[in-house]
Amino acid sequence: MNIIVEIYLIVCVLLLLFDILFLILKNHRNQEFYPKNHSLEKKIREEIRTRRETGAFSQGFEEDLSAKLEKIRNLITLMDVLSGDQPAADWFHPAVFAQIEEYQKKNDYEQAYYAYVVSQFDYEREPVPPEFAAKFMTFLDSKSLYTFANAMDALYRFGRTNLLLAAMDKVDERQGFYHQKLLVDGLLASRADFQELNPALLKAFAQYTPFMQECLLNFFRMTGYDVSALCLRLIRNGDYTDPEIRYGAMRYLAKYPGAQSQDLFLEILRRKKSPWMDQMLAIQALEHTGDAAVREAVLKKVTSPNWYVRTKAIAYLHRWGLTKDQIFDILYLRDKYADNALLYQYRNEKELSHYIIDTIQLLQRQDASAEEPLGEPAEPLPV
Amino acid sequence: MFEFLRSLFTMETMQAILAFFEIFFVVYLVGYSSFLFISVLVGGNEIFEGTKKRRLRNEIHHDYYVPISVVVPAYNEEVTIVETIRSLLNLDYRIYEIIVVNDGSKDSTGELVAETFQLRQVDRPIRRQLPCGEVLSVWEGTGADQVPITLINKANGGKADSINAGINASQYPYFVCMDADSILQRDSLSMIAVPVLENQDVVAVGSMIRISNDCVFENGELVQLRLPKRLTPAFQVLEYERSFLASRILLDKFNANLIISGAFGLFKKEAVLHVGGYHAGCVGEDMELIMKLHSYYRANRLPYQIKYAYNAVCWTQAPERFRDLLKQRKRWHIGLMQSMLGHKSVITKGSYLYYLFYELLSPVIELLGLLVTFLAYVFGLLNLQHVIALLLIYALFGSMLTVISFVTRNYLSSIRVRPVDIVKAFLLCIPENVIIRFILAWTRILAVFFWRGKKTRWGEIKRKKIDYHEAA
Repeated sequence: MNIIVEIYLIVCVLLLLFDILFLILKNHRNQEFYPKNHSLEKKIREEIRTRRETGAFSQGFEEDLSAKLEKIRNLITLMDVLSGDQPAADWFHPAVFAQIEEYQKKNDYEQAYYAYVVSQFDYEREPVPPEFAAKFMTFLDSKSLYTFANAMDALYRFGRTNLLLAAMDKVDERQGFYHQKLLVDGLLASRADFQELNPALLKAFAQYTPFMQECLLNFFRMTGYDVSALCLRLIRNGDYTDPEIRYGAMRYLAKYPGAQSQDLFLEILRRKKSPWMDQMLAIQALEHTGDAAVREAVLKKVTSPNWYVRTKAIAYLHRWGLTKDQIFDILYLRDKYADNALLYQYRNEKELSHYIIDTIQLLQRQDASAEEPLGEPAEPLPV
Repeated sequence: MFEFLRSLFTMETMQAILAFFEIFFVVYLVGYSSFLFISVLVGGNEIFEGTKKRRLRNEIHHDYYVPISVVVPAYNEEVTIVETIRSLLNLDYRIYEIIVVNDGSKDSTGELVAETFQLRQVDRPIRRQLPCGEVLSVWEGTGADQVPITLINKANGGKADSINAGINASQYPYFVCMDADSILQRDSLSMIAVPVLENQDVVAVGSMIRISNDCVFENGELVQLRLPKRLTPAFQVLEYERSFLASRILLDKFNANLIISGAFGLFKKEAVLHVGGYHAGCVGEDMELIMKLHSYYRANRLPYQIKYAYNAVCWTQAPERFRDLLKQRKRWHIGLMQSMLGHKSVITKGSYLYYLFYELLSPVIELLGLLVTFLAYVFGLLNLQHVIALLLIYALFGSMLTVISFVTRNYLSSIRVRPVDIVKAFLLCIPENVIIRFILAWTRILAVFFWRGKKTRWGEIKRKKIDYHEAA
């Protein structure tokens, strides 16, 4: 038994000492993990100067640098230098591109950083070499969203339609983005020729998943590319179209209205059973038109139990001139939803909001007295 | 009494029994000590490695995010709910929404939220993807920076039922589930999303739960960590530091975490929908969900990972009264038991055995140890000096590891710890390891024996209001 106790004691003490020493050592090493490679930094700066003066780097520098860039800390050092000297960045493309195979083997964070570096270069003057681009596409298969998003950024910078189309397939296949804004913003910021990209995306539209289709509709809306026919078809398909895509199409037509879309939106408003989102978007889309038929259809929506529909309806009526008499007519409907929407619309207009509140209260008093058998004579309504 | 025992067992029988238990307990003790040691080592190493990763992440300096719905189930939380939502509105995150589920509170939780954040009632249909109680009303509004806030008033159905309702109302592909009495740091949401950004196979992420009692906060940020003045929460601080820093990080290495605290966890909505959401009839709904996820993905041979983000911090109030702590632990242990018995299919996971022996059965084993020691004493087979020495070494070893966890964790997160608190930690970790541990073990045993499978209810622990926005 004594031996057990002693062995246990010794083992515990040793384990504790090991633990403490390990953590102290780790802390010490950690402080020097990404130290700047000052000699490399100095060398790069000198070589940039030489290139500016003589038009070429010193002999052997590029090979030497390329080998050094295998290490992430050296790549960080290079980027630190180039961040303050953007015009010189073009000269370093070959050395960085040469390392792609090395970085494809590295861990996710290092891959992500490499993709980030590639995305920082300017491809206006010197387009990306096709062989490199083909290899680079494999970064889109990474499970790391850091790598994936940086690789997408680089592809936007490359600005090549064929690469972007291939990337869209990958995005769609792996559902790489969780929010359409990420993809749409990226596409909008890309260097691609939209005259070429838009028709190509439209051609491939049907093969994409609903999420991607929704993103593309937003992209078309923001670039102003004419897809009205597609949108009308999507809306007319009704239940056969995914609701989110239908909404995307409605938003598009709301921004680029036409006679056909106006009729369609009016029809949606007149339908007895339209989802609230359809009704709201239809009112939004018809905002620019004050036709009597539209006003009549919108007026019926002020009693909608849905907050967004009724407030949009009131906002529409207000935009096209809502007189006190018309407000009274709405209040006279004695609908709590309509009252509520009117109060919200005129919350900042003291006189009108008082008028609305007074009228609601008077109507309520009248209703209450009408229910009593021997009620007082009705009060006159406020004018 | 001793005579009775002596007549029951012969000396030979007793010696044979003791020899067997001696071996068993040495193996058990060495196993646990080794686990503790390895986990503290791996935990420390991982934190250091994490700081490297963070540096590289900073180099990339790019906006990455996954949209997240933050679901806050609340029952009678009028004291803390407004502070909690305010802390959520301060988060450093680009796209998220807050969904408060008021589970038929008897106090003014719902009214307080609607009034403070100027929400308006909307007629919004909620798709019932998961079973949950009747939704009575839905309120919407926006907080600072246009963060959408949704309040769902529903019929009382328990915490699991409320989270299911929140998931149904959520619009984003990931959701975070958190307690209404907890506070997130500004970067907590960004930090908990990191494992998802690192690997899209991640279906759930656990967080570091820390105790806020007596800590000093300024604008929702911790400025000074203090060990609570009262002993009950102070013991819990040490316990949490050890368990969250060490064992969870180690288990994480093997995709073996079976627990994600209900106080703050991130989940992939699609995955949770596949397994049918939270189980409303279960006491430990959070653990049960993780077991279901493990079972589902393993049975279907799908790639998945359940990760632990040690730097995603959630500050929560620990029970101040000892009886509340006992109640809480009783509930947790029953939850653990329900989940483990309900998902024996994951028994092949190494961590299942760890949880079985060192969590679920540990109170029984520890008390059995006491019983055997007592019997050995009765039969005169006990070398008291050796036993005390062994126990002391064990307790000191555990205590030292606890202190190492506490110091490492705080040193690396650049949190100021007063020297007096380090001394206090040294002094408290021994009774924590020896006395509190046994009391809690006893409570957990009682929980197992006297559990009658009652329907789940909200834990009723007395809350106090903590000001997270003013310096002390």
